[in-house]
Amino acid sequence: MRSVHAALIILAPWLAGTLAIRMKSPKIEAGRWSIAIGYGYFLGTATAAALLWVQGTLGGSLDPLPITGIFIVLCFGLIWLSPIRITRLLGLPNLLALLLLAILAFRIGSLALEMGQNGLLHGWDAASTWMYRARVWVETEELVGFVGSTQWLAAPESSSFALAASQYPPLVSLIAALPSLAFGEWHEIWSSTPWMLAYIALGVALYGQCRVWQTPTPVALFVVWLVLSLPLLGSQVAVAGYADLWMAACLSLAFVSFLAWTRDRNRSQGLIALLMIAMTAFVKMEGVIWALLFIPALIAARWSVKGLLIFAGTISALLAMVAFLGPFEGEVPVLGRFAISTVSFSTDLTGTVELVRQEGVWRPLLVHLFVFGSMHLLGLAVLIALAVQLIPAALGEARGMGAAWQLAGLTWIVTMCMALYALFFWTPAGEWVRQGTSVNRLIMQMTPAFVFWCHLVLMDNLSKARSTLCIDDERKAAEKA
Amino acid sequence: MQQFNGLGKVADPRSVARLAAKVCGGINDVVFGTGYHVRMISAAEVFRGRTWRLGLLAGLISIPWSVGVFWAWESFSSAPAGRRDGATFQLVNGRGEATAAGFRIPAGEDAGQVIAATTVPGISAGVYGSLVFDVDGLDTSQGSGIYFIRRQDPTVGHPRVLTLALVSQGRIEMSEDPRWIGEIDAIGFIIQGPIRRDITIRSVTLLPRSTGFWDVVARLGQSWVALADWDAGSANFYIGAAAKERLVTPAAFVGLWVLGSWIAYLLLSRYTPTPRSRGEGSTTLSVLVVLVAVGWSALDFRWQVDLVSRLTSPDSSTQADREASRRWAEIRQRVFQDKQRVFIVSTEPDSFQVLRTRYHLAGINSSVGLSRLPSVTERRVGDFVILLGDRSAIRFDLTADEVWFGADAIKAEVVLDDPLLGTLVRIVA
Repeated sequence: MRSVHAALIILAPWLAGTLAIRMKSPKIEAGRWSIAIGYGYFLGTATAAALLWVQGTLGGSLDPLPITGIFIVLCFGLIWLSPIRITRLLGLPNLLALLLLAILAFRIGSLALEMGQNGLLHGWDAASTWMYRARVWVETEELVGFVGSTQWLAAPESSSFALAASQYPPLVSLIAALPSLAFGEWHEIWSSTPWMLAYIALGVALYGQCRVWQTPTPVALFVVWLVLSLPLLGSQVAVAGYADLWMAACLSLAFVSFLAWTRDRNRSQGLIALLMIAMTAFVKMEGVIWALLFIPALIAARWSVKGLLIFAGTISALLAMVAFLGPFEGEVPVLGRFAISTVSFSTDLTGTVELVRQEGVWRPLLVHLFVFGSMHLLGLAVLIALAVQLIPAALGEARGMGAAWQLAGLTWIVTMCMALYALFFWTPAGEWVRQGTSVNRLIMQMTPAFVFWCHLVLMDNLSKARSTLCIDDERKAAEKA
Repeated sequence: MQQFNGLGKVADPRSVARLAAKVCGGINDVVFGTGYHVRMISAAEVFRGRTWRLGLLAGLISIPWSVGVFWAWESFSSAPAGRRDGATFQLVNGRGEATAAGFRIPAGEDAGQVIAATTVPGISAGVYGSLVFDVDGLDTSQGSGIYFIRRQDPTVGHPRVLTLALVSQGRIEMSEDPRWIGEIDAIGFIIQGPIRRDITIRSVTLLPRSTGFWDVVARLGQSWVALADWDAGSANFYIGAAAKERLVTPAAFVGLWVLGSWIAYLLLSRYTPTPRSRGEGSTTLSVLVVLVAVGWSALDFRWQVDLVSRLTSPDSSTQADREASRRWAEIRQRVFQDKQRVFIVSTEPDSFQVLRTRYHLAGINSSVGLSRLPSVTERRVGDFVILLGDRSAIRFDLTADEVWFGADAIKAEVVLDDPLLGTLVRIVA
């Protein structure tokens, strides 16, 4: 609260000074707001200082709280008395947009200060893997290799370094190493800065994509705020050094571009989607899986429900073959060699993953999604959007699935949910849920996409409902005439 | 003429379909990206006075309803008091024995620290809020305390000194202890010698937290104002409340409030004898969206306050780590050379200390945390070993140039022995 007070004692006099000058100079035509804001700072700040001097001269102890109060009241008074209605001048949407921008700026500032204060102290995976590797490269000025602990111990003469997660893709560590290499030595804040920029860039890109769908500016900013306000996403900036923020950005922006492509087959959006999907494979191991899970959505966009059913049938038939005919091995591009049976599957990239039913996962999963504060109300919002999308379809109304983007979007969301279900309930990753380690981070990788999809579904549904009403009204009016 | 997707409605494309509140933009007509023509309707048209009033009323009704649900849940999930007899206690440190009357600690001037503990496998810290120790012969001037072991970090004991006030009160409120979370596996009693007369621990009783209505309301209030600090779990999840394992969190409360308010709105709008307004169907969804937005804003405000408080509260671990970082930077310049390897050995190889030591040494070819000394085939003369963790596991035989870690030994010379950084030795043979 002390920081909030410190910010208020600076900002409230500035705002009061700005409003006072703006009120007294309504006839200045050009540059009136710049003049008011610029001159207002000096006038307001000097007045606040004068009040402090008066307080001290009258013998009281120096306490800025009453001065802050005076200026807050003054601001409201000036807004009330002003002949120029601020709301009319700027317009309610613009005021809302400004408010959202201010909230976003405050959040970004808070996280930047946290990042600077904490360093990499609290990020376990950062210090053990992602930033450790980057720091080794900066300190040695070489792209030294990493091997697992057993291999490292067995080869005393090797120049490779030990790393428990030596198989992880290098992209994020390389991004972190770049600024420090340029700086000339390892510098935590410089190397953490890309995380803050990724956070901001994610917001900016989402705003642009909202505007592509003609979402009005304040709503687009609201969507950005919904994403950037998620505590876990913010924590990944404050406790920088994890790869999940990068995965969230790449995967979600890929999905958003993909959706835009499904709507109007815009080649640029398609190309951007492809590049971002490819990038996910270099961010974290699971990126390859996430990339492959775009296939059902692509089929849905290209060949609609029929294509999707054929695809689902083919996959089911293959799984049935594995169940009845025994283990299957093969080789596919990207994944390399793979083997699948009813008890495990393995690829060159993922290693062998056992398929074992996990017990005791539901309760902690529901707690993380709906009780803890990692994602505010996102779990509820996704449920609402799914209901809005699925209930009309289940009732036989085709309007929810009319367009390619709708089917593709829903397919992607459902596919991702199914993938998470399979991961948490049928592989040893269930332990991550019980221990509360990676469960939220994995879900977080999709949250910006989920928020964007919810926004599209709800905006579309509201617009359709109103369209119907307007058409009905106009038809009635025409009949009357 | 254009047929809208699936609607079966036929309309002139010029008669633009209309949508969304004025709040959504400063323009009159837009074509939303999903293909629907939209007319901006004024905010008043979407949220008429009736909608606002009903929405507000529903929101207010939902507050006591949500509190009531929490109270019912807390009452439902409460458990009876649990009791462990003194005879079940086992000696952890010092002198003492389990007898039929309880765990007896004999008097003695040289008693030192006596610790006795009993297992309480997996009791929920969220359910049991306080402990009552029945101890005979305990003088209020006797230094005493308790400790507990959590399932999430079974190797760490969490001690708590018993003040005179706590001893005389008899009941120890554990729910006030921020470390009392998750599942508890053991509870211990600590006596600091000298012990003037025999002490007998007769029993420990675990009392469930109060499920009285106002106690639940108070806990709900506390969960809104309880702030946290960064820790190792911060990158994994954010509880957003005082303690976990219970459902009384702001996020759960707001979620419940949103749903309750919406249901209340649906009921109110259905049974209010006002004519249905134009746009009723979409207004219902709009109200739900607005409720989610309001709830989300409240939670985000709390998160912002939490963030600011973290900035202003000093973090002692940061200072210690900076000091360790500075000193390792000095040592690495002075001691380490190219091609030498460093083995980081600890009684707790996955500990935070091992993690940070390895990070401070990044650039030096060091191992991950090991629980044993390197074998002959793994080590070379001139390599280093850093010994961390429980210092009682480390012994030096200076005459033989040997360093012992548990039952293993290596020929090495001590380079550094520091409480903050650990013990650094160089392998000599």
